[in-house]
Amino acid sequence: MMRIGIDARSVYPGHGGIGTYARELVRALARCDQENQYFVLCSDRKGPEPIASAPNVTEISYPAAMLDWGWEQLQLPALAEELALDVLHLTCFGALIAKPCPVVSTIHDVVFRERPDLVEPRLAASLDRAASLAAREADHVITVSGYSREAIGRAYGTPRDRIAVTYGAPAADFHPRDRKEAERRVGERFGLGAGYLLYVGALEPKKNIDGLLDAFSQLQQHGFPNQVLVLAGGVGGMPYDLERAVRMRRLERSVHLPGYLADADLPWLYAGAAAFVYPSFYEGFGLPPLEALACGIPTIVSNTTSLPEVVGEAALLVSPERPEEMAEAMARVLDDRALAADLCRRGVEQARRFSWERAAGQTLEVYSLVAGLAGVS
Amino acid sequence: MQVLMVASEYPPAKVYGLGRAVHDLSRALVARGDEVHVLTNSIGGRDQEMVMEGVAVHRINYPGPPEPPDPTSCVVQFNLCLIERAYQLLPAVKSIDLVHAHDWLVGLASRSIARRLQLPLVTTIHDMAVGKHFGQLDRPQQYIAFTERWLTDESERVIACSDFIKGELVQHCGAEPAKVDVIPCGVDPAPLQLPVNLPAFRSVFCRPEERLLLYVGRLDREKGVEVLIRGFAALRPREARLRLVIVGEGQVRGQLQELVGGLGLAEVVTFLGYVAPPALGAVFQCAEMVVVPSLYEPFGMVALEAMAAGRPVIVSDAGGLRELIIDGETGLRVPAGDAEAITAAMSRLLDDQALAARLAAQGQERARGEFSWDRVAHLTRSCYARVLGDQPEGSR
Repeated sequence: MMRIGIDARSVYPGHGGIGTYARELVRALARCDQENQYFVLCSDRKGPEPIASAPNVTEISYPAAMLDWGWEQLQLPALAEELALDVLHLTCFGALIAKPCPVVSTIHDVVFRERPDLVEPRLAASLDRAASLAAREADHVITVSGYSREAIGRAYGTPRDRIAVTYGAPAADFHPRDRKEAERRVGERFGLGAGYLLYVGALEPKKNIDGLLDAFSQLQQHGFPNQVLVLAGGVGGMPYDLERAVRMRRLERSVHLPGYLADADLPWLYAGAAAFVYPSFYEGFGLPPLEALACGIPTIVSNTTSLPEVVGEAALLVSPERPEEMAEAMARVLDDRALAADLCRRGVEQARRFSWERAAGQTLEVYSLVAGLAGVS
Repeated sequence: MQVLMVASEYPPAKVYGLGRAVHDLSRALVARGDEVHVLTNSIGGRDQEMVMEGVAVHRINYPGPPEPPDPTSCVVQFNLCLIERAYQLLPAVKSIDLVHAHDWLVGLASRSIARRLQLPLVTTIHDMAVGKHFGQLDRPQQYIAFTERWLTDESERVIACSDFIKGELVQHCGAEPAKVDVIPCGVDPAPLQLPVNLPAFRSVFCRPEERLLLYVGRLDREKGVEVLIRGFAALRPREARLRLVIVGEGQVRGQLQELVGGLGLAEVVTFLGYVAPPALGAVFQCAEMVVVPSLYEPFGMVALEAMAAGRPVIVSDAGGLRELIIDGETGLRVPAGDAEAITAAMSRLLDDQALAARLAAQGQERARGEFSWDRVAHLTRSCYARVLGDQPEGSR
């Protein structure tokens, strides 16, 4: 029996992809593993709902935000000792310098190294510090794609055999849904008619929202004047004036911004879309495209970083640098019903290859591996 | 021998000096072949029964303080929980030879359990209300002082952590000097010397070029941190690259931070808050010296930890520190409350690296020899043996 601590400070109302990763990992471990004892270390910003309810999962809340470097280095070692942990998993970069037990660290990506122009400088510095520490000091690193494993190796010289890859997966809520019901719900909830193009994710430069708006503008000018685009998500870590970007292109009437969505609304928003577009410059994994595939929605993604690995043959790939290519792909999916139907089928199949249970199993193997290392404590 | 330790805190819960001392003593006794049971506070309902490093830990089911918290009823309720738990354990622990209480907080329960089981009671006094508050006791403190005196009376033998505390027990609790054994706390150097990437760790709270002076301890009035801050302020004009790191929480933290601001030192004095091992060991390793400026000090655990970690120490001559540090050999000693003397001592160690290294080495040697937990366990066992009929250790 291992006593396993999982850092879930990234889970809070309005959290991003790293919070989803921590939450789904904890839930899957709670489903699959009744043997080990789990201590989920949460931020006091998290809501009252427990992440997972199981007899072997204890949630403990601390006044600490994610990437709080001082808390991590000075307080977390004592908590690990207090809880007599056999392994501690930092799920948002980072590692302990003074470590009382083996440490596993998830490095989600190294965008701040490879594309520093896309990350807010202070955030980039803090992520780089945490990731380089993790790459050196953690007993094992976990990352979320083969692409990220290579990138981490390039950035920090970490041996590839010290980096495990565990893919995320769409939550069970993401599956094909009744079209009519979806239309009714998005109509009621968001005042949208069916057939919109959809983007889901943080609204920041890294995601290439400018490129998406350019492509959408071209699409409107070339035969789709009444097409609607929905950008669902909150602001990201890097300042970006979205309203100005929309206004400059005179797209105020055709671009909808419903904001950050509740978990219950999101699957319906996918289900009502004609196509999903994800033109990101850089991803460590890229969960939203996988959610779209699972919902059976034709998907267009950029051909960079981890995205080809995630979507396989099930999506259209475009260059994020070329809006005209993106516009053309959108037009094809909107026009060609046979292509759209084929993408739907392939998407659902591709998404089935990913499961949080498998990720949990692989993560548990890493825990066992490092907990077996002698000489610590 | 089988011992039932009763203590208000015990790892892996968040513990302070007392919990760590009971933990280390229990492990060391087990290592010598004794059987140790620890009866202690709950940790959020978890791990009620646990065998840790050979020590059987039994936790009560204490619901926590009432709202609004009332100190006296908390103590009574806590002790009732301890008594109830001990009776639940009775069949399992019936071959116990003696009960060992740690401080006044568990006095009521320890004495009741010992009487019920018809066992001798040994009490360790780690700290005393009278000295800490310089004789000025409010009502709850009077209650504590009363319990200390009562517990001293009721115990077959009393263990004091220093000659200083023994003197206090004789003076304020009317203890027979012959009934009191002086046994120091021990120190375990291992967690203080965990291999750590020091440059990376230093970057958490200081710049690479800075020389680090360290205070660790509760931020309460009797710890004399104000004196240290004033002493540091006087040192600063001379040496620019200094940083004073203050580890700990307490009642006067706000006042100390105001003082630091008022002296224009906010940029070079860092308050880290509470830091526990193993990060604490790494903080020690980053420091060039450790200062213990107490106005009152029963023993001086932080000075001992600093010595064990191989850091030179400057201490005041309060209480147990007088016995712990040999001036000029295992550290520097200055009059308590004297900021100028602290400035001079810090200045001396900053200038004379050879002296600092010699004090550190000699301090470390003394900490590891005289204050090893093995030796402390041996002394404690001799005390037990005296209680159980004067057999010297080894004959049972």
